[in-house]
Amino acid sequence: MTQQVLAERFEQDAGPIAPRAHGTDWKIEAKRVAKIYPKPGSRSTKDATAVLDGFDLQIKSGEFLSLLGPSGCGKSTFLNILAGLETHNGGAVLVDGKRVEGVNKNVGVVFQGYALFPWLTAQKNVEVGLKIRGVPKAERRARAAKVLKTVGLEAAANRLPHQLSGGMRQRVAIARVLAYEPDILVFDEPFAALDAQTREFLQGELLRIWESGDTKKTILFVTHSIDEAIFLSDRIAVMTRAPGKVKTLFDIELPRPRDSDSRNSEEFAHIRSRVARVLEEEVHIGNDDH
Amino acid sequence: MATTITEPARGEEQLLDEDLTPPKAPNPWLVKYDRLIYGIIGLSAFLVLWWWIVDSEYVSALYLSKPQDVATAFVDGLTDGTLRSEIWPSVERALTGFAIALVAGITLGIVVGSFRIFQKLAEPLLLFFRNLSLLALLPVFVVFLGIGEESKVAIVVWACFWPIFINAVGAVGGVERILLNAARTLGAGRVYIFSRVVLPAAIPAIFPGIRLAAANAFTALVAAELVGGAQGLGIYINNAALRYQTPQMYAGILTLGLIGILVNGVLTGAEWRLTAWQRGLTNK
Repeated sequence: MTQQVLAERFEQDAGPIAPRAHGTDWKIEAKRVAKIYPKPGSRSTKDATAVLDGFDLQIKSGEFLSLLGPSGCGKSTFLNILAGLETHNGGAVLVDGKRVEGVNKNVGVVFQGYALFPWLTAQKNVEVGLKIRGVPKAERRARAAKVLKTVGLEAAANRLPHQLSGGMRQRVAIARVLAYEPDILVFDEPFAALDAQTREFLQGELLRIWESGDTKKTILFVTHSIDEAIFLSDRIAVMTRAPGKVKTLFDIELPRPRDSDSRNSEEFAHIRSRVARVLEEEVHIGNDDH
Repeated sequence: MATTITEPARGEEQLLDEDLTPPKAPNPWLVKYDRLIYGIIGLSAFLVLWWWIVDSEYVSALYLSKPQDVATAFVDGLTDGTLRSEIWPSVERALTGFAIALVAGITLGIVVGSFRIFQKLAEPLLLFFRNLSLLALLPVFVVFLGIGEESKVAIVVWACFWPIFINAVGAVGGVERILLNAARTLGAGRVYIFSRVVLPAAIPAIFPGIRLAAANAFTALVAAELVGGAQGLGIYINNAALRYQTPQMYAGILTLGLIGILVNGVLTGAEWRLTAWQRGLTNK
C-alpha cells in the first residue's frame, strides 16, 4: 500500500473533523493519528515504517495523563506531533478543538536531555520564553525569579547549566516552560537520565508544583516507568508496540496529595501489577516477532 | 527480616607521624614562572645562535643583520616615525578586511549551513575556491580594483572569508537538534533561532576558522602591498630590501611578527570569553 493511499484512508476513517462550536470536553484530542517514516534511500513506500497507526486519545483540561509503552512504540513521536515539532500522515490532533498546525505556543515541552541553552545562566534560560513574547526586561526578571523560587532554585539563578546537577537542570527546564504559562505541559521522559533518589524527589516536586498552580495545567507525561506513571497520573494510557496506538486506559484513583506512603500502599501495588501485565503482553509479542 | 548494622573495622596499629612524610613539593616559584623561564631560555638561545651566525661571518651581514642592529633599526624606526607611520595603514586594511569577512562569513555560513539545498549548491564552488592560491588571484583583483586601497582590502576579505565561512557551514550542522526544538517550542521565530541559538551554539566550532583567518589577513595583506602602494609594512619591507637597508627590512618583519602575537593574544581572550560556557562541558 502506498503512503498516499494509506494517508487518505486515515483521513476518511477519521471522518469529518469540524471544530466544535463551544464547550469542548477535551483539551487534547487525537483521532486516528498515523505517522509513517520513509526508509532513507528507498523510494518504495513498502519500506516505510509505520510508527503510529490509528492512535486515539482524549485528555481533559487539568488532567495529568501518562503515556506508557514499550520502547519504540511511538510515544515520543505523538508528543512531538502534539507539540508541532513533527507532522503526521493521517488523522487529526486537536488542541482546544483546533487542529495542530506547526508549533503551538500554548504547549510547553520538557525534554529528556534538558535542552537548556548552555551559554545562558539558569535565570536567562527561564527568561527565554518571556523574551520571545516581548515581555519587558524588569517583568521578565521578576517572573523568572518567582518561577525559579517555585522549583527551589533561587540560589542557582546565576549559574550556567553545566554548573548544575542533572536534577537541577531538569528543574530549570521545568521552570522555563512554567515561566510563560502555557495551558498544556508535555514531558518527554524527563527524569529518565536521573538517579533513582533524584527521580522520586522530582516526581514529588512536579506534583507539588502542578497542584499549587492557580489553574491546573493539562499534562501529558511520556515515560517508560510504570511506578512513575502511577505515582503522578490521573490516568495512564498504555500503548501497543509499533505501530502504536492506545491499548488500555487506567484510571488511577490514589488519593491526592500523594507522597512516599502512596508508593507503598496496597492500591499502588495492585495497579502496578495490572498495568505491568498489559505492558508485558506488548513487550513479549514484540520479542516473538524478532 | 533482621538487619544488622555494623561499624567498619579499624586497623589496630596506629601509624607513626614519621611514616607519613609528605612527598617533597616542587619549588613554588619554579612552578609559577615555569613557562616564562623556559620561554626566555629558548628565545635567548635563538638570539645567540642568530648573533653567532652573523658575527662569525658564516652569513653575510648584507643578507642577515645582527639582532642588536635589527633592534636598533626597530627602535629608530619607531621614534623617527619612518616605521611607525607604516604600521597603521597596514593594520587598518587588515582590520577592515577581517571585519568584513567575519560578518559575511558567519552570516552566509549559517544560512548555507542551515539549508541542505544551499549546501548542495555551494559544494562544488567551495571545493574549487577554498584551495585556490591567493597569489594566483592577485592579478585578478588588481585588474578589477587597481592597486589602491580597494584591491588590498578585497584580497584580505577573500583570504579571511573562506576559513570562516567553511567553519561556519560545518558548525551549523553540529548544533544540537534538541536546542533548536526547544527554541521552537518556546515560540522562537527564524531570526531568533539564527541569532540567539544557532550563532552562540556554533561560535566555538567557528573559532578555529576565525584564527586561521586572522593569520591569513596579514599574509594576504603583505602580498597585496608588495604589488605596490604608498604606505604599509609590506611596502616598507620591500623598499628596505631594494635599498640594501637590511636591518630596516628585518625591523619591518619583526613588527609584523609582533603584531601577529598581539592579534593572537586578542583572539585567545575573545575565544576564552565567548566559549566560557563550553569549558565546563568538555573538560578542556
